[in-house]
Parts: sequence; C-alpha cells; structure tokens
Amino acid sequence: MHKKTSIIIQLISVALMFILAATLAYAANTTAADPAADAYQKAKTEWQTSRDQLREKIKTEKQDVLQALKQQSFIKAQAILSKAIARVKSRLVKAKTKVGNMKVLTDERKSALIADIDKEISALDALSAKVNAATNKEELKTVAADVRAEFANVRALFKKIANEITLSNIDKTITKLNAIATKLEATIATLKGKEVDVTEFETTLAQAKDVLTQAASQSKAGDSQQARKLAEQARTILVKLAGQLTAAQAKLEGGTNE
Amino acid sequence: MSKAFIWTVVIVLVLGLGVLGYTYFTPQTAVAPSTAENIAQPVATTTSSVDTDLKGVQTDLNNLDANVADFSTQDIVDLEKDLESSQFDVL
Repeated sequence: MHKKTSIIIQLISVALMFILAATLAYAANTTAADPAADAYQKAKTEWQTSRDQLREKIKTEKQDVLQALKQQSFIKAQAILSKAIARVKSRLVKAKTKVGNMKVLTDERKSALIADIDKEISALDALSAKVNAATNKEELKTVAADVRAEFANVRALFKKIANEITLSNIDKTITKLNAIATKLEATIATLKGKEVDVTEFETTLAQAKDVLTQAASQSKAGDSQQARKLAEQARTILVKLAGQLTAAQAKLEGGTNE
Repeated sequence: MSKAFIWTVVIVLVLGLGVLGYTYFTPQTAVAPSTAENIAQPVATTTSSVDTDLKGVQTDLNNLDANVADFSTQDIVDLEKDLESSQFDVL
C-alpha cells in the first residue's frame, strides 16, 4: 500500500512538472515581446480618449472647467510622447544586441553601427527630458515635431543596418557561388580531357561568372537589391550548368557521347 | 532497491519529461519557404556536392529577408503619424 502510494505521488509529480514546463513554454510564447509597445498602446488609448472628451467639452463647458480638462489631457499628451520615445528606444536597444551578435558583420562595421545606435539613443533620451520639461501646448508641439524628426533618423539608421546586413550576406553568397563555379570549371576541364565538346558549358560558365562579377560590383556600390537579383540570376545559371554537366557525364558513362 | 536510487530515477524522469514538455510546446523557428527548382535529380559524383552547395545558396538567399526582419520600420512610421503636431491642437 505504501509502495503504491509512493508510485502515485511520483507519477503526479512527473505530470505536474510536465504541465509546469508546458505552461512556462506557452507563457513565454504568448507574453508580449515588447513591453514598451504595450505601454505605448495604453498611453495612446488614454490620450485619444482624453482628447476626444476635450473636443466634446469645448462646445459646452465654461473656461475654468475646460482649463482643468486641458491640464489632464496635457499630461496624457506628454505620456504618449514619452511612451513613443521609450518604444523606439527599446527597438534601438534590441537592434544594438542584434548587430553585436551578427556574425556576418565585421567587427569594424559592428562598432560603427553600434556607435550610430548609441547616438540615436542619446538623442531620444534628450528628447524625453524635453517632453517632461514642456509646460504648455506650444512647447509640446515643438518637441513633438523634434521627436518625429528623430524617429525619421532612426528609420534611416534601421534601413542602413538592414542594407549592410543584406550586403554582407550577399557577399558571402557570392563567395559560395564563385566556389561552385570553380568546381564546375574543374568538371568541364575533366570532360574536355575526355574529348567531350564543352563549348556550350564554357559559354554558360562564362555567363555565370559575368553575372557574379556584376553582383559583386553592385554589392560594392551598396545596392543590395540589385546585388541580390544578380546573385539569384547567377545561381540559376549555375543550376543549369550543373544539370548540363550531369547529363554530359551520364552520356559519357553510357558511351553515347556525340 | 534503496530509496536513494528510486529518488534518483524519479528526479531524472521528472527533469527529462520537463525538458520534453518544454521542447514540445515551444514552436520551431519558421523556415522561409523554398522556391528551389528541382535540382535533386540523379547526379554524377562530381556534381552532387555542387547540387548540395547550390541548395545551400538558395536557403541563404531565402533567408535574406528574415535576417533583417528586426529592422523593419513600419511601426516607427505609424508612431510618426500618431504624433503629428495637429494632434495636439486641442490642448
């Protein structure tokens, strides 16, 4: 009886651990990824409600009542600006970690990009202080314009980072494609040694190499979209060449070479 | 069997099932859909490694967008719209 109870308790423990682990995993996946985004959304809703109420009251309420309402709304307006800044700052902090962990970027590029991110974080901190220091509508509108301008700078920085990451990845891809081209070139040489007509293969290989050169050139020029397009094109040509060579080898092995 | 042995077995089982449970309920990272052409035809030895390399390159190219997903700017554009100066005229 005692043994039976012990086994039941053990089984229940196992089941509880399983449930706990599963719950933790579920919670980790459903919890909001960015608390700053949630805080912003809350501030936005409160500001919009307050603003709409104020617009309504302006039609009916007396000046002294309105003044009190405007003061309340002003605080909500400050909050939405602060939370918006915090949200973008949170994105920048995450971006900094991501860039720091990017193996594809050189240490030099990482340092430069992280310095750019830090600069934007400092600018946002300064704006946050300005929001808190604002005492009237005009000051708040001015700082709101500054915040928007700063957000535009952050967007430009994110685009720059994304472009650099893509370019670095494309450079890696181009290196791989060049290595593939070299392997295929060796196969062509082998076939040529066996007196196979390789004119068509050589033409295709030359095409692939030409496109790869163009891709590298576009990458160097900073045009990630064009470099990507050309790398994809080069890959397609090399796939075609690999197919041609496979067929030629099969033909050779079957002894039906033309 | 000693009590210590039984408890060791129980702890190992609990931890093992806990890890399994966590792994089971944690979704796998989404893999970008492949647009690869069929290059998996029977190939000669000399080009089979090339086919593998070409598939690897296709995966790399497919993942280019996923690698920069953390740097999307749409939410910042939305914030800028929320903070237009005219929104504060009512104050």
